[in-house]
Amino acid sequence: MILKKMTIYEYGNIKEKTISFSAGINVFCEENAGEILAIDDFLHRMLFDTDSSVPGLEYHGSIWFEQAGKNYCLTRNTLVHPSICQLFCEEEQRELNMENGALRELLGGMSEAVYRNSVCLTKPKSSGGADLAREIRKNVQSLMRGKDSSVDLGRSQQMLKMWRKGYQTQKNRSAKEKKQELEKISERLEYLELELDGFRGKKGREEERLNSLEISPEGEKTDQAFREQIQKLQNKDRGMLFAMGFAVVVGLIGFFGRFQAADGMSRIGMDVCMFCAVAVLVYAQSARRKIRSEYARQKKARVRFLSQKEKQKGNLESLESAQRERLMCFTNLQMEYEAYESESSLPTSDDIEIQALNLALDRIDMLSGDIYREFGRRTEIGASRILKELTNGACEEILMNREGAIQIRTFDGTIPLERSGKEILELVYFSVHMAVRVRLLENRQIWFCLENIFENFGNDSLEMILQWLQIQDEQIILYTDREKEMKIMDEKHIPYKKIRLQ
Amino acid sequence: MRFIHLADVHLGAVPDRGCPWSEKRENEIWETFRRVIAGIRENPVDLLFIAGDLFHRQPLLHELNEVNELFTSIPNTKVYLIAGEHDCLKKDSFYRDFSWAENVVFFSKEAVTCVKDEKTGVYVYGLSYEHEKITANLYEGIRPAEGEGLHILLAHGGDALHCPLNVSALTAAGFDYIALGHVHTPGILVRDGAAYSGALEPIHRSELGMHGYMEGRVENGRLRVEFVPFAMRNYEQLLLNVDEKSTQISLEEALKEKIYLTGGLNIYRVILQGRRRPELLLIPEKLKAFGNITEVLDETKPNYDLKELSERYAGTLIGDYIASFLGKELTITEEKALFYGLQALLETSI
Repeated sequence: MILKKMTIYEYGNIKEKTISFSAGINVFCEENAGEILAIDDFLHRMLFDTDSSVPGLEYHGSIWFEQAGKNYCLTRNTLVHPSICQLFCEEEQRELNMENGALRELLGGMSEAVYRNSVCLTKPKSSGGADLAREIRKNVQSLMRGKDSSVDLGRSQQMLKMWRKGYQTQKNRSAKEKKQELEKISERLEYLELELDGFRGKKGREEERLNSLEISPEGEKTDQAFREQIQKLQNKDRGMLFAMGFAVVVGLIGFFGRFQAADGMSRIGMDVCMFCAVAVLVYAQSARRKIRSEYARQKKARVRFLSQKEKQKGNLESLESAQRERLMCFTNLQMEYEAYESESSLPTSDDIEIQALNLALDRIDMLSGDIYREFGRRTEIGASRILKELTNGACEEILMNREGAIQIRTFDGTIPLERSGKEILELVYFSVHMAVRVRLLENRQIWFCLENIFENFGNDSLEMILQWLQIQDEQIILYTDREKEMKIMDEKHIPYKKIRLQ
Repeated sequence: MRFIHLADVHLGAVPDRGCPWSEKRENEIWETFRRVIAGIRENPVDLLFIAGDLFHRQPLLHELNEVNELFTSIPNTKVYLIAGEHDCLKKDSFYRDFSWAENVVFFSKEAVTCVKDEKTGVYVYGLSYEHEKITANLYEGIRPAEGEGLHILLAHGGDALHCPLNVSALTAAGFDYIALGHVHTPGILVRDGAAYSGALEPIHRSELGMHGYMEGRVENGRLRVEFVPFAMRNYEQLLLNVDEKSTQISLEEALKEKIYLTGGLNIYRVILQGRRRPELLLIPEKLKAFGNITEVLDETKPNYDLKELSERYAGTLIGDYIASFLGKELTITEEKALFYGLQALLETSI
């Protein structure tokens, strides 16, 4: 695409201006940088219609260009409503349909970003030294890994990592809260477990106590022993009662027998009977008293024993019931723990955000890696070739890595970009951008705008670049605010077209 | 004749564990149940049906005592109670040997049994879970007993793992009302004939909307059932629309107003939707401070014209990045990744 002519109305400080271009080097020499920028900006917007709806940024004008042997006229007027946009083919004498992407087709599908990176080359912000080296390195890294000098990959990745860190912090906080909650349940479970252990111990003791109540020192069942003892006492009592009855009978026999006895011997015998009966009665009576008292004592002891046993049983039962309740509580809490744990392990919205950010980081890394392998390497070769041509072989190669480190291989060895002289830095800057332009444009052809880029260039660099540009088959639009470039071109007999806006 | 049908009270549950209000909610579940009983005490109903899951886990003895105490306080109301999968009759369950008050009928078998209420002449059918999962349809083929009066079935479950049941078949079999439990969202399946009362108080953030119980009454010989909202609070979903003009402050104000209008006690899940200015940095977490908010989901997208951007940046990293996502159905993560990456690449452009 070769720019033939342009007409601008009411754009920036330009009231109305028609400019014709040559197919070779065109030099805009203006001290007013604003006007230079306006021309460049106007061309950009004519082709890509950017910001036309923004108030204050309306424009009106036409450009004539040649593409594939045909001449076209593109007219835009965004000052009127609805805005006008026409693309006219002069050979065919017909208007092309812009809606169908006719202009994009003429541009070979070139996007605005590719135009920005391949058609316009602005001057470096730094004038030299370490700053310029740093700027070139950053610029080259953006171009090698993103094909776009405006993309700051480092910052983009930093930003994504920062967002991810934010979500990660949020996730950690929430995980910590969940962990604390689980710990709370866990503590409660431990406490219940201790309680259950306590219950087990208490229950064991109560059971022991209850069992001990059941066993007599002789190893007999105490209740049984009580019962046997009582039975024994009752039997004894009964025996005494019988003895007493027998004694009464014997006594009565003796008493009545004494009166009926005929001789003295018989009477004595009867007296003995009576005496014995009385003695037995006295003994039995005394023995029964003792037995009765023992009986009452044993009965009381048994009642006491039984009530104690009942109490122990009651204690044991209530212990068992409390233990069962605690056990149930423990089981419930355990289920609660498991349910909460499984709920906590479910992915949260933070996880989705983190996954998305990881995916974005990986995708950018992968794509920039692909660009570096396919585009960056070739650009490196192209830039090396250009630099070699510009320096007449003094610099053989530019070596760049993915991280943006640049080295220059010369006859004398390899030196890092930071240690290169100003002239080399400027030439590297130009070479890399030229190589990028070639790679980005592929087979497309379009003018090349150099926006005052040689302002800080030394005379030697400038001379080399201008001579090199002369032999390229490119339409060059050179914006400058000095006469220096034209002076060199005059000296070196480099043909160019001088354009003045005033 | 008037009755109340409630289910899934889940006494003992701790909703939203970890949130500042979860302990309060645990008490509120008990409190709401007590309010139901207090309401019955003031305005007695003839029958109270509890269709399962009265407790969230196995009931403890003191809990059963407390519930029984409450039932004792409504002697004119006969309480019919079944156990659901949450409080099923395990071997060691306190349910098994608990002595209920005279006015309480507890169905203690995992097979349908029928009890006739002598006062009202209503036949009540029901079964309790003895296992956490019941895959068989235990209600299949059951028919109301011969006898005049209403035939009401208490049933819990309905899904494949929890006693699958065919409500239409049961209604067709002649049951006048099927008091259902297990599904926590209230819903009338057959008008005046079968309904899930839903949980008395919502216990999970997914249980949106109003909660309460079903109240039934016989009017002119016909049974009428209606839902009575009774829960202290609801879970609600709030949609906040974000547009080009939205800011963090405007969103906070909109949220405050919406919460004020919907009820400050309710518990919310906030979803941010719409297209925002790409440079607007939203802090969804900050919105949580304006009420009982369990979660804030940011579903907003930066207002990028992807087609225009992919054309503008074609042939560069940004263009490649957009192209790598477009042309296929994107998952939520991929869509978010697309916008995150794009925003980072564009915002850091020089």
